[in-house]
Amino acid sequence: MNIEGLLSASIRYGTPLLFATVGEIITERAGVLNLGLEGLMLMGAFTGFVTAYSTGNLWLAFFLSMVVGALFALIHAFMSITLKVNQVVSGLALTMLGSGLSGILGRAYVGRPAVMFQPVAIPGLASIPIIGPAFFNQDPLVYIGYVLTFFLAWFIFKTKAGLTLRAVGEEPAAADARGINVFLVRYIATLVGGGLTAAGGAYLSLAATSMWMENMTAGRGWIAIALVIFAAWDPIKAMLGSYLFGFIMSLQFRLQATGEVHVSANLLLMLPYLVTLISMVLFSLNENFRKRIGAPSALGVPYSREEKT
Amino acid sequence: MRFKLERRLDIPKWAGVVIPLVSVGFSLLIMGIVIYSYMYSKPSYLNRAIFGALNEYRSNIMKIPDESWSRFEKLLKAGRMKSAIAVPKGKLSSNVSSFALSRLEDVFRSTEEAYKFVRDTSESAKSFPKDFESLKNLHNNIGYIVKAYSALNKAINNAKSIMNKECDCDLKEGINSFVENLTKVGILEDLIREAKSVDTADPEKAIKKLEDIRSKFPDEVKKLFTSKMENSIKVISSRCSLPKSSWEGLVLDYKNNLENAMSSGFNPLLFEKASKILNNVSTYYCFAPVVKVWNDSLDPLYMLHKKASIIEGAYSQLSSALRSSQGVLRSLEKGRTFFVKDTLYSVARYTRNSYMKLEKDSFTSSIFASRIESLKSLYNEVNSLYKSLGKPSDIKKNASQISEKVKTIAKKIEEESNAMREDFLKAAEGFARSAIDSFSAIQSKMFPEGSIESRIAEYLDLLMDTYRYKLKEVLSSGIDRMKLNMAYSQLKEVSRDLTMFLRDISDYYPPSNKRMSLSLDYETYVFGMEALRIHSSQDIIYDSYRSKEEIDKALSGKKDITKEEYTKILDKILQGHLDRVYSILTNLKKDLKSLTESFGQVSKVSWIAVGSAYKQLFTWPFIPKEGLPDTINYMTPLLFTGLGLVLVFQMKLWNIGAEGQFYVGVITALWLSLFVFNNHPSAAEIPIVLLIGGLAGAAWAAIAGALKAFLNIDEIVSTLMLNYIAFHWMEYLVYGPWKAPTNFPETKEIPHQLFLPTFGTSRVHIGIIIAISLSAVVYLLMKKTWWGFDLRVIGDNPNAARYAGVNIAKNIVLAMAVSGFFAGLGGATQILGFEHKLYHGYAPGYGYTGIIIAWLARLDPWATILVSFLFGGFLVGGDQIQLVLKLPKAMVVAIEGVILFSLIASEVLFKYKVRVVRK
Repeated sequence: MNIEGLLSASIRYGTPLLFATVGEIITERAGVLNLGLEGLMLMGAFTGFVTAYSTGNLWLAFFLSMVVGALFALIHAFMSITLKVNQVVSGLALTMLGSGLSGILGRAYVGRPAVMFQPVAIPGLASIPIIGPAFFNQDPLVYIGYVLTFFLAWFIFKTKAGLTLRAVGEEPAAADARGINVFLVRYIATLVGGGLTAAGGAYLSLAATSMWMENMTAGRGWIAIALVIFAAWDPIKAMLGSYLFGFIMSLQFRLQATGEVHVSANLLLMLPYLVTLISMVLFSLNENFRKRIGAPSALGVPYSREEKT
Repeated sequence: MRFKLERRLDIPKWAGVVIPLVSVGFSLLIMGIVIYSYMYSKPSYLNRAIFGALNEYRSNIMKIPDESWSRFEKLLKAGRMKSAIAVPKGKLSSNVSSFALSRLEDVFRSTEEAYKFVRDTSESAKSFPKDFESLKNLHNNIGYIVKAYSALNKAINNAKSIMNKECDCDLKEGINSFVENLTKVGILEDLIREAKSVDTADPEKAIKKLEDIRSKFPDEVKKLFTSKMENSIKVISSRCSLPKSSWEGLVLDYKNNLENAMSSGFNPLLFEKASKILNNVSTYYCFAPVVKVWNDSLDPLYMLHKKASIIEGAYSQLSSALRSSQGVLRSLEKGRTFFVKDTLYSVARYTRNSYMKLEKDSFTSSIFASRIESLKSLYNEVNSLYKSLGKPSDIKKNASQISEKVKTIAKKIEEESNAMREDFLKAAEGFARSAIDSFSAIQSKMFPEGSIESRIAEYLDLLMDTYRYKLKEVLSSGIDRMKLNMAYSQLKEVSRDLTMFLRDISDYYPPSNKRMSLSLDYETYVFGMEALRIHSSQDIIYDSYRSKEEIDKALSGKKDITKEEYTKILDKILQGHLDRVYSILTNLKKDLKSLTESFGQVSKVSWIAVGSAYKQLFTWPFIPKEGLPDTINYMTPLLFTGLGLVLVFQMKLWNIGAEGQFYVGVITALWLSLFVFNNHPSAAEIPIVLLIGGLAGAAWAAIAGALKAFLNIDEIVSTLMLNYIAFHWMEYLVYGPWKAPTNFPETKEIPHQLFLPTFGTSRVHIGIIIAISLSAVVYLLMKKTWWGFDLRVIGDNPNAARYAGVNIAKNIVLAMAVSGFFAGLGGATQILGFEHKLYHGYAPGYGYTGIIIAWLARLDPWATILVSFLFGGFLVGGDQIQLVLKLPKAMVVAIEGVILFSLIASEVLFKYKVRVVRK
């Protein structure tokens, strides 16, 4: 089997997951649980495709899909931060709205070809054997994914703003007492997270393929939610997790395509979920890990000044 | 200034009713807007797609002359053939052209889609006026009305007899019969009420009242009939561009008959006549008459072709006669007088056969009347000649004389057969012409402005020309049956095409833009084909470039044509080709622009679509004989999953794995029914299957519960993962070990003994009873047991629960297991009661919808029943909208999302006061 090809495909399959996962990490770090990733990714994929199809400008498409993702996340932000409704239900509603709306609006675009991002080899790095072609001969969005991951890791853990973000997710009351505008931080985090998630969706229609299909994310939004936990709310681990998932996905396709190994496709497709579950169990069994991977304490809990418990 | 939410302590009692109503109403409003904008915007983005693709195509094709044409020309002029050839090869052929071509194909696909869309939307607005149907219904029930009237008369007579003490009749009987008959039809409720209130004890008053009713009765009935008629006429005239004059007469006729029927004491015969006229109105609705008239006028033409075998027979007899007469001449020439008499006899026989064939059939005898006459005289001529012939020796003597006579006969025969062909052609052309005339007569009446109509006529002419051409071909080769049949089928095609054309007008297009669409349909198609054809001929142009080099070589030695001259010629050809492509494109664009305009009409249709969408959504799912059984069957699994979640959400445990638990129940039930109880299945095993299915779901959910309780793994993620694992496991079974020996990935059906019983003959299975009784169980568990209390305490305040000595871990696992039991039971019920087998891609989403239901029911088991019923209805209504209005399925999903958002948001808005805070 061609290892370079396999790795390179893993990166490509992993990148949409990466965008969505880091997006959700930002959102959850601020204490907002957004289960609407699937809907956001679909809206992102749809917006990206339509923009690329009608203008031919890929970067504009990528940007607009992020804007639309942020606008959609705004609904969830308003619901869960201002109105303080149940975030699980609001997230589900967002998924429905996103997949429904993209399905309706996108009907006219099904099966139309558009332009797509082409791989750009990074001089020097791309000539490293095996790793080079897999990691450094990709489309620009993949490189953005690399940079974004490291930037966010630095941002969350090394900057003051990152500390603020984490404080809002861990102890909103304390953060409020320190003069941090909890609502504003949560709004920003949800919007930025939504934008990145939508960018993950846009990757599917701008770089992975150059077409639009109804429900083309095929459950990737839900995988991203699992990946956030798998990654223990850490962007670097999210990257590893996303590419691992990408690897399993591409391996599955390859095994299916070559037909060399007779493994049921469905069992292989089950594998990523099983791996997540088992790895979560393994991590939790280890005392050290368990201490380190704690979710933000205020995750999913709306903050309200009047009702401190 | 900013907004602030303040909790309302005084939530009014009515809020519980008003909140859901307001938010559902809001969602429905949104839905209306969404449907409308979908219907309305589709054409506009179809147009955008068309124009976008077209522009791209143009710019791409333009690139050819700009970039390479001039360079190519320059090189050619410099005499550098080889380099010149290299230019178009590289830049013309591959990328640009193929991309342009794919864009052009895009244009056509979008256009096609646009037509389909117009068709689909207008179809929903097409249905025949409702009032018309009910008017027909009234006519069908006319017997009852007549009976009611005579019963009324009888009652009055009886009352008079009673008053005059003539008889001891029963007054009530007549009145009752009057009421009964009218109630059967379901009309004139006021009169029924009046009749009921008649005081039978007092005949005098009764007579007065009954006579009053009788005087009103005909007027009321007439009012009923005419108002329905008026309404349907309104609809007809708004939807159909047929001029009023074409059906007005019929309507008047109908009204007159109706009047007569009423005034003549409800004469049933007159009613029947009116009803017949009514039927005529409906057949004459819009375009039906056109098709009919057209077909009528085509009939003789068809007849002509149907009699083709006769004509052909007559013609071939004549040919044989000609051949025989030539045989006579040859025999005479060669002196073989012995054969002459016999052969001449054949000539006579053939001639006779020929006209007799034509004469036998009334149709051909009328067309070929003059032929028959002249053939008869010809026959007599031949016959007399035959009779005048004496012995062979005499013939030899008079050979030259006879030969002269036979020659004239042969000439006459030839003339006759030519005339026969002429006659046939004349008849065919005459009939065809009259068909066309009758059509254009209708047409000029129907479409006074005449724009597309003339195009139809042109189209028709074109088809008829083909027909004529084929006919001529037939005639030039004698009357050959096979060729005749070909012409006949051409004729049929003409008629079929036209009929389809007309049907398209009347059925599919809304009145005002149907002509536009029609012309586009035809023109765009023609233009498109032309453009595509030229495109494909580009290859030939390239080839000619390539071969230029070779030609050049060949020409090099010759002096009569110079290189420059040759190049010029080729360039001219190329330029010509390109010019044609441009002109076609310009036309196409113009055409598409008018398409855009015609789409303006769609907005009108869109409103109708919104209206019928609401109607379908609200009524269909709750009509007992229509959607109600489906609603209940949809509701059952939703109720199961919803109930389980109600329980587990009480303790703020977010089990979103009901989907997976449902699947596990499905898998287990299927396994038990297909592989365990398959030998001697009996209904007694149903409870066991259901129970074990539920337990499997419980075990599946307990995994997530245990992970939460002991390892503190978030239940949202673990249940989500378990959903996917269960789903792929199910898919694996369907594709792999459990696949039935069919082509489709599905399992075998479970033994019918294990089917859940249904209510009577309906589709509704008893699962609903189980589900509803479980609501009671959940209610009791939650409100009447300590365990339910514990769950709520854990949910509200885990610390308090812990201090109170509640075992939280145990309760988490238990609550998850119970919730999983419900979902698994739901899955098992669904298999035994509804699906009976499993097929690939089975993902109904009952688990996810269950979350919404539990939430909307505000975690109340009784409310869950109501909410799941409404949701089931919503799903069924959604299916119905999809089916009837061809709205996308995604629409229903989006609306669900909107409903959910507005419900949760409105709840908050009722709980809190929004206050504006000024800083």
